Amino acid sequence: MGASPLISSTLRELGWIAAYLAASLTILLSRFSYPRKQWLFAALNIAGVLVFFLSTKRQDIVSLVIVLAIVVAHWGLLRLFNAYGNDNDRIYWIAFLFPIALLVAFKSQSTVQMLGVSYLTFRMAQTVFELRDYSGPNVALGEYLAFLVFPTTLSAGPISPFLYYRDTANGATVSRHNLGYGMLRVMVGYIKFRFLATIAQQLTFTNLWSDGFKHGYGDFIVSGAAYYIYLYLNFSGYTDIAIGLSAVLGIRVKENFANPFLARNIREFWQRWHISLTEFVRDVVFTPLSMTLLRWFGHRFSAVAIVISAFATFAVLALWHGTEPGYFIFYGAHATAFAFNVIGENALRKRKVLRDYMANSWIALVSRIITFLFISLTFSFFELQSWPEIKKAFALMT
Amino acid sequence: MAKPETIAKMLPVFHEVFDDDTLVIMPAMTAKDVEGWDSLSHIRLMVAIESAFGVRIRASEAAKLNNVAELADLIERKLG
Repeated sequence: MGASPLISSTLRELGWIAAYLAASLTILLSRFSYPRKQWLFAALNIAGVLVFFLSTKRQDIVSLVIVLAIVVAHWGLLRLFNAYGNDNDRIYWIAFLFPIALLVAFKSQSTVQMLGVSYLTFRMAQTVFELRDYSGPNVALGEYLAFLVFPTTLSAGPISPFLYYRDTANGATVSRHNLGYGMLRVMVGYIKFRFLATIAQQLTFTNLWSDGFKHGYGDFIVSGAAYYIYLYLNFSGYTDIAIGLSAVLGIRVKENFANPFLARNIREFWQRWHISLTEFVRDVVFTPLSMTLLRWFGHRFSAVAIVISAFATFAVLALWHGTEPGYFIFYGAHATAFAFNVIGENALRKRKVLRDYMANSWIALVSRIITFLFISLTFSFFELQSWPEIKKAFALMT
Repeated sequence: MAKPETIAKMLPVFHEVFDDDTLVIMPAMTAKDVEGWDSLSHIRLMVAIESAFGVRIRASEAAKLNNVAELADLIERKLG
């Protein structure tokens, strides 16, 4: 009797991952110069993308060629930016908006599917942001290709900074700590991603509510919480694998989660959930918009400026996910909670009681429970997404 | 290296933004050392610094600052 499909597919995946790691270490630890290593690593990463995510079908090859062409084109813009000492407003905006325009173009059509388009374009835009006023060496094409098509972070992030990659890929070493830490992280991630997430998924709307029976309000919260937990286990598990595999190679990848279930309010939640995306939109949307509005409104109305910027930032995030109403309900609720949070903190800070409030363990416990329930409730709409699905769920409630 | 007079001129701005007249700032001080210096108050601080010194700080510059000395250096560079 043969092995079950799950075991054989798992063993096959592990075999490919081991082969990729061995080849990567051979390149990164070789005596070649850094630029030559990066060209070889880029070639290996392209092969890795084909093995892990794509096939030799024509549409997959076309997708890969498009990715490579976009990377080369963006590298050209970066070099132009470099030529102006990384300090030319017009070239900065062209180089920054080029990947964003591509993202919008790819998202608004369904003819050409492109692997990891969101994370690829976000990392391109973030690199431009990082390199503004940067005085280090120019970005080489081999290095940029190796960074952007690094298979561990290509399809689902994190949006790890280019300079993290450069600082650690240049002079990568194998150490017992890196190997031990990396493999442990991969194992934990694999268990979360493959097994625990699947268990949590059984209680989500898609599974629990497909029995055709009526459900109580309690089930709504249970399914919302299950979806929140499922998303965390699935996504953070994937991130653990990405960070762990990179750590084995000595390459640093940004952390993406920090115990979101411990968040005491909505602001803390976003500091703990999908951190790389939160910091990216904070840096490129929220902060510039807040600063502009603050200059217009003045300090007396700083809370108004910050609330408007928060709504705009959450609207951008909703649009990134799609145009389904569930995303707008989710992000709209979060923006509203964020506004209350900012106004409340402002009021408490003026009365000098914020520190006592935050330090009280009972208040912290109650805040964590309320935040967990709020996030769970809003994730219900994230899962249901469309009006028909939302209406169907409400119709099933007794 | 940041000039003491730049840091001295920054002090009332910190007092206003963090609503604390007893606050003392030093070059090596980071956001972790000042109560309430989070991402939102950082934005308020940047705009208050802009109006106190008559300079313009970009969001990309604001995001890369690690301590008070780097902020003072940035202001001095902007002032030429």
